[in-house]
Amino acid sequence: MSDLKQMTMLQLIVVFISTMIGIGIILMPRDLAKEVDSPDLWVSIIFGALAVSVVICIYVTLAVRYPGLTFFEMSSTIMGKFFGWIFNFLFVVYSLIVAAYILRITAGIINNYLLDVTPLYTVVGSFLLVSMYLIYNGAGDIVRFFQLYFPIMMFMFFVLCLLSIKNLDMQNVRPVLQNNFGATFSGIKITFFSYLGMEFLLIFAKLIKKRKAKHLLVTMWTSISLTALIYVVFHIISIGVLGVEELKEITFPTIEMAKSIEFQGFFFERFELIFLFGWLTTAFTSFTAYTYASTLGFKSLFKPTRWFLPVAGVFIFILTMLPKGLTEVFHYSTHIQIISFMAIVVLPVILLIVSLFRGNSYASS
Amino acid sequence: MHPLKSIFIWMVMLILLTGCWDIKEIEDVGIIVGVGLDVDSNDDNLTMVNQYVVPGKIPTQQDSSPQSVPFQNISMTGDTFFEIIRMNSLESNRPPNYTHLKSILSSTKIFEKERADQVLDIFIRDHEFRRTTPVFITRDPVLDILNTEPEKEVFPAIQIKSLSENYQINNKNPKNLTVGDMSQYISEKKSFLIPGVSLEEGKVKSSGAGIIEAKSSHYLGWIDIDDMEGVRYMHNNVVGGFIYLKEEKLKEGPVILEIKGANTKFKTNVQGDDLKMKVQVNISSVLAEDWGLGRNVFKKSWKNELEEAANETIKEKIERILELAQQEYQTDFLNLSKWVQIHEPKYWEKHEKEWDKLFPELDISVDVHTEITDFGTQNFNAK
Repeated sequence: MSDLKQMTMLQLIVVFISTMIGIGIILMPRDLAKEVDSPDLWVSIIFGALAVSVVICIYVTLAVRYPGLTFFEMSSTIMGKFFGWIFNFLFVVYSLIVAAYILRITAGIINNYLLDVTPLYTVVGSFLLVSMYLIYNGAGDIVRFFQLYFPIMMFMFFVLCLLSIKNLDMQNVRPVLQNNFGATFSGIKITFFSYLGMEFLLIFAKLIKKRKAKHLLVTMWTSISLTALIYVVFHIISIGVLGVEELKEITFPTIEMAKSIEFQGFFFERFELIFLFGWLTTAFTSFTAYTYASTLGFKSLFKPTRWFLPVAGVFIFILTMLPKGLTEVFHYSTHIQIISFMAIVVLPVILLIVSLFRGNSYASS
Repeated sequence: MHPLKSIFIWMVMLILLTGCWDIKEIEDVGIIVGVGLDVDSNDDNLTMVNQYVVPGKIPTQQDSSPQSVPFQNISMTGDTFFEIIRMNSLESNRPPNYTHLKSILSSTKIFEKERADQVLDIFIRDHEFRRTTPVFITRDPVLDILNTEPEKEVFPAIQIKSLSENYQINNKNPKNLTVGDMSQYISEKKSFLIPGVSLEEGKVKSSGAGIIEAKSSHYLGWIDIDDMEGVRYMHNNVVGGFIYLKEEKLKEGPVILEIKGANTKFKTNVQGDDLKMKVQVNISSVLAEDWGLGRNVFKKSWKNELEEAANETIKEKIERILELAQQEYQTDFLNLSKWVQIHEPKYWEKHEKEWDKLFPELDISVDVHTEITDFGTQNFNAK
């Protein structure tokens, strides 16, 4: 087992950013361009961040009232055995579905851009095995892994931003803030879900060092604003390079954006390969976090055995292979958003309300 | 761990980790540097020319004896491009690979027959094609151009691309249009220009541009090389080049100014429902060649006459291209709608649908301001 017992604030921020940034950065430009239909779509991301910052307060209140308890322990403490079990079950289903969704999109991208003829199950299987190997040793190692790759990810994003300046046509981003407010605001229903991952405050609860409300809020808000910053920069670049109309039609806009960077005769003539390797790590980190959450959930549902990790793996594999093609996957994404909303907003809100009514707070100084 | 156990794991890993579905030996890949799109002689089928690299015949430093050309053009006819690509395997032992494609050359005929957005489909859809590949158009047979062996460059397809990279030195060269740009114009439903090349006395030359109209997505007409200057100013991508001031404009004799930089600003003004556009061009230039006798550059006010003449010359060129766009073709291939969209979003929202009708009537005023900053190393030929 890992020797990491407590996470500092910085480690928490790394974990949150690594889980939040995943496939959203690849797919969101298209959905958002369709919804908002103007160069102002980056404003919606900021609205989304504000909405999420409010939701965060629920988690922080729960985490402060029940320090050191994960979501799964919390729910049975507050709701009693039966309802707690149902809550945990729902959350496990949610984690499994999101993990499978991330994996399927990632595998789709690998198949599209890197390994053309490799069968899907091989790509999915190897990705899953590596992730399970990481989870096998517990939360500490996951956090360490996130920490190790975080600088590489950030460096990759930074390099991509720098290199794409040459292709940037700022005329595509104009006119700024001229779109009608309603359309821009409605983008929130897409951007909100790009911050999925903040619920891990309740999953990694055991490892958090400073459990005061102030510290938790600062940590969460910092990670959300940093994520929002990365998203906004990427979206402005995507619009600048490709234009809004083009964003609506490209399957993976961010990768096409990276693909349009080309330096004749330079060592990195094809930059998108390097970007893809960097991005795969971010997808891997979000995927690992959700797989970990589902194994943790399984442990609370049934009598703990060592076999929960492979069981979660098998479930995810089956769910991943279920859709016939990317069209179906994209079609499911709206349903996944509803499930996500239930799991990360409705469930915690019910928990908080019931806990306030019952008033059996564990809060200590 | 038991040593046998670990050896077993090693063996399993060796077997599992070495496999690679996607292996492609570079010797077995038919690298394609250029693609030509045309219609066949009866105008009823598509023709696609693939320019293969023949690695063995690329001339090296040691052995520069004249050999046959280091490329092979396979021209085939069919109903769709993908079909033709796969049919290439009947003739070429190495299957075509497009990841190193340098240029796409299309004929005007193919865009007369087929819609540009349909032609472009495979080049956008397939991941092997890149968005950065430049597209060119020609009125001559595509195969002839791709067969013309360049002198300094090895491959015709690369020669065409290199020509277009001279846009920084000459303001008559059109700037590159990549597959990605083209796709952007098409999805924005805008007309655009494809840089043109032509075959003149056995030499491939960069010349003018072809217009693709938005609605029909077909070839509409050709912009001659002499009219390209105006296009460059309107696209705001002039970085270098020259201004030729004719003798009629100056009494001492013709003068050539070298452009050091130029910037075009577009201003719009909406009054009620009436849109007016103002094009403001600022050019910074130096005296490059003076055929007139007796100009004293040490004397103040020597510039005034030249600057005046340059303003007039450029203004004429821009007005000429605006006339072509507004009167002759009645198509906004200069992408002026973008500036309306940026500066007057409310007006644009209201009139986006009828822009094609409004554009020919649009009141555009041109204002050019040229500045001469330098005159060279000597006050030569002064009085």
